[in-house]
Amino acid sequence: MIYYYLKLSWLSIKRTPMLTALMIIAIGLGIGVSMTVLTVNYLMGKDPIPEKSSQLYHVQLFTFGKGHGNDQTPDSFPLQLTYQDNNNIKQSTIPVRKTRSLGTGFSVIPDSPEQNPFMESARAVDSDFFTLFNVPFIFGSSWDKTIDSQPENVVIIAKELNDQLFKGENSVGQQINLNQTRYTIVGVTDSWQPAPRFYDLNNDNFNESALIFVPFSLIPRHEYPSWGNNRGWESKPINTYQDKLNSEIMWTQHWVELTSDEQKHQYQQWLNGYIEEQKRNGRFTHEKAGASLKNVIQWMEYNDVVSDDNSILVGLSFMFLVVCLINTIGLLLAKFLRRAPEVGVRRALGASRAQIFIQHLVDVGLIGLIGGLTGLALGQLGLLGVKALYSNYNQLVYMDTTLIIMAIIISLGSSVLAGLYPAWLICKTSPSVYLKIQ
Amino acid sequence: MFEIRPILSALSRHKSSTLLIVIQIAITFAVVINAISIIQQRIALMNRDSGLPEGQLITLNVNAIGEDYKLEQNIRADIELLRATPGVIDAVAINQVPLTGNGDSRVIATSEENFKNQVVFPSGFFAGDSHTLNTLGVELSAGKNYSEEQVQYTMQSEKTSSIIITQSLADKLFPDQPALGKQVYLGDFHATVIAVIKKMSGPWVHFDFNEENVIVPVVQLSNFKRILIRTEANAVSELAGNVEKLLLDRNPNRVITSVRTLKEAKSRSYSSDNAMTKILWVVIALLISITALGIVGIVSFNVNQRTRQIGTRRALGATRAAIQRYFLTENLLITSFGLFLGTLVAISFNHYLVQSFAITPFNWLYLPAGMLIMLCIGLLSVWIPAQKAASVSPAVATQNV
Amino acid sequence: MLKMTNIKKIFRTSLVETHALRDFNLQVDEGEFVAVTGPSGSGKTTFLNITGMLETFNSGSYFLDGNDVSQLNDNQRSRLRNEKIGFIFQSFNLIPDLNLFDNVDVPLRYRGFNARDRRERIENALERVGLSARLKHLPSQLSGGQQQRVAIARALAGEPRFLLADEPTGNLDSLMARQVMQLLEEINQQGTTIIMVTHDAELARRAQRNIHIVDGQVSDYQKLQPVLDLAEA
Repeated sequence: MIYYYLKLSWLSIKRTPMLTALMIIAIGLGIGVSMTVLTVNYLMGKDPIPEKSSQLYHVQLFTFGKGHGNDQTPDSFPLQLTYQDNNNIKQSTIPVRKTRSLGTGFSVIPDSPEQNPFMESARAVDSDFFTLFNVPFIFGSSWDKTIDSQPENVVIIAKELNDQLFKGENSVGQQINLNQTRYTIVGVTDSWQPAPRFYDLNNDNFNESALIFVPFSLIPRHEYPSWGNNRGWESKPINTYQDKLNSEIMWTQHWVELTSDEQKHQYQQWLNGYIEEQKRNGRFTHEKAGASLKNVIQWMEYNDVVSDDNSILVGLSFMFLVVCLINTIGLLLAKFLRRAPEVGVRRALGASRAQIFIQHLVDVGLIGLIGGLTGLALGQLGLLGVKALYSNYNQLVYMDTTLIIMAIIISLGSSVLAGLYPAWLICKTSPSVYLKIQ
Repeated sequence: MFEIRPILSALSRHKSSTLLIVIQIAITFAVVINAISIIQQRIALMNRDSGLPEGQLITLNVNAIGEDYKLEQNIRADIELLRATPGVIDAVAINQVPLTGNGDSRVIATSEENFKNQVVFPSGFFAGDSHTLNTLGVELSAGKNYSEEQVQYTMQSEKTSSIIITQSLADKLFPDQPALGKQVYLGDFHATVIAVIKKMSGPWVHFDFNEENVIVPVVQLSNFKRILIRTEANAVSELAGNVEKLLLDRNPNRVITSVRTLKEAKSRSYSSDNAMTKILWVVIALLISITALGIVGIVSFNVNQRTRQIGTRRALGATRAAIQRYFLTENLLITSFGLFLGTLVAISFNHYLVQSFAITPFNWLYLPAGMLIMLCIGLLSVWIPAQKAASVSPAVATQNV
Repeated sequence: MLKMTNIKKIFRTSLVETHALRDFNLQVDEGEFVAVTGPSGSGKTTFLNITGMLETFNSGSYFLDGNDVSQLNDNQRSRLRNEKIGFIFQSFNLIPDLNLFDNVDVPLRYRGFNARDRRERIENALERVGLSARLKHLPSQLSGGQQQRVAIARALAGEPRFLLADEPTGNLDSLMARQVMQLLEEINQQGTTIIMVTHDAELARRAQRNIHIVDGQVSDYQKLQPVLDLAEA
């Protein structure tokens, strides 16, 4: 029977090409616009590391002194840690893995004199960083744990840089010159570009990840500059790099992996103990002094990764879709009513209401499907447009299978929804009314 | 003449299709009003006066390589080279550049006491030599620039006894009083206001304190240094193209990055606003087309359905114009209902946006303007089907169906 | 076979109440050819619609082949209609988008026959009305008489016990009308019960039995006949 209904629906499409085209355009545009917006929105807020996002925690300590705070966060916690606190909490043995982290950068000086030096963003981290965030390696592996406390000039580079400097060959054991210091390569990671760059949301969240990783323990030796935010509140002059390391300036991050609630609880207790200890040393004078652990998803929400503009656009595109659907309902009413005499005949020849109803739903379903496919194509166009408008969204603008299936379901679902009323109207109308006319 | 009563009674017999158009017009109106209001606000933001000769400025970063790089010597040499370059009006080594989204901010108070009590004002913190004002191209409303002798070259925390502030910051710090000569406190030092800048944007275009800035006579010596160049208006692009080579030729031991005209830097800072306005324009255009097409579709259908009725009217003496007027009046009525409902939807949607996001309420003048536009669109879309209705022959009335 | 007892049908709008049928009684036996006549608005069409279960009635009882119609839901009525009743209309009511084959196919689809059965029945039905050569033609390519023959083929394809005809010759010229009438008579002779609404007295006379409806009630034509004859004389 479905095949028969599809055939009838195809005939009716051929009979009312204008009306059908209008409906397909309406559904297509509705789906196209909302899919474009939803795709960006969905990918912005998407779990970047689903396999362990609930086990990775970003550590926040309320290190502000009395009378200070952060007016950019809802709980006025600072977003980053001081260097000294970061080192101190590294001592905890509770987390399965833990890493300190700082965004920095280098001038990379290629050994061949033809190539000019260039700047590349980098990250100073601990050896756990790669296992903690599931960063894949092509060659080598992370440096030894001992380097986290006894610094050596080692480096891990990403595939992109390895391709550029070593033509993609195994470069483990080779050296590269970063800002006139030679580092030995111990590993090459595969391309790793999580979007949003959840592990450091201090600057442009959708920019590319660093391509160079160096031990965090090298910070005092090479005095790495911060390429992220630095926030201070003390009125103490900072005259040397050592002053900055000793200061209350917040410019580094700390991530831990905690595999159970029990472990999380223990760690929270440990941090509370640390804060009490520091209070006795005269720090943490604010009444809010405390520690906060947020997992990846909480951290992204806390940082408003999905922009206001996007939320507004989601609202607008939803209204847009509603207009398109109402439009479709109107056109369907017209189309179905035009077909009412035929329905009268079918009823007289023995079609039940249910059969008429289903026939018309199949009809809208087919239009919905064509509209949905049109919408998907328009959505791709829309995404190209978004890509052109937001240079930093390159990672963000693709539709994965989930989104494509979602688009089809939305278009089928919404067009069937739009078809319910007209189909119901036509099937409940008394057939005898239409038999005299025509 | 306009047959309003018969139209209303006819509409009441086609409640659902009438209601559908009404709702469609209402939502379209609400979306258009709010979208235009957001667009207007973004455009106003992007077009606001920065107080700078934007078209004449070039910014770039110098990243020194190695630990034996002589910072002060190189900075001075670079700046001298640039100032001597034809087409350059002035150049300065500076810690941050307006409109670029990167830089330092400090909180400023009128006294140490106020600072402790957190009566402070966040400000963009600019540090550069005595050419800073001239390079930025900003105008002073009071006081005088500092002299080159006052400028410190230092790797240490900047401490200075003189400071220049913007009028906008002066108004906050010293409302109703001249700021010139007053003392301000920056947490670790006091400074006297020696000049006030009429208007100057800071680095962060989306921050409330964008126009609250200070300039101190300090050249910070760091491996990462920004340079700002002001050129003759016609020399900008040429210089932007070859300034990297110019600097590297003098000393290749550094990496020059982010050579941009200030216009480029500015459009980067505003890229999200620019994108938003463009997306909203597309949404508005598509939405209006969809609604218009919907009206065309439904009215055409109605005309088809009523062919016989129209023929009868014609046979009874209705002129073509009267038939056309009937459909136009009908559309006018429906659109008016839609706009009435739409005004309510627009206001509540705006209320929601204002509550949830950083959006200012729309100007109420948008309502009548939007209504006029929607009425015109409604009439335009009904024009063709109405034309078709008017051309129905009176003979239809007597034809057998 | 077909028995209506005290059928009442009222049409209500907010302003008026029309009694289309009142205390309507009728029995039609297997194999009869009944012509229903009556003035405009007498309730002929309402009667036909109720007979074909296209409309429900307000009170009374209606048995069709032993089925109590008032107890059936829409689905069951549709099923019954599909199996037992074939419709022929004044304006043919062929579906313009469908060719002859597909038009005749419509009731068979709802019956749920398989493709081979359907094809066989369609070809037989069209052959019976003499149009088997034009399976792929669209209704618009046929003359009025041919269209009505297709409609008859469509009504017959499912082998219904009853054929309900609403002014089947009303839109045809006299030659074509006679052909259609002959076809109906043949069908009746092969055993199908026919109920035909018409205002054509000559056509009505050719039927076995005549029913005259006035004001929603059967006025016994037979009883009136002597009076009418007298009047004519």
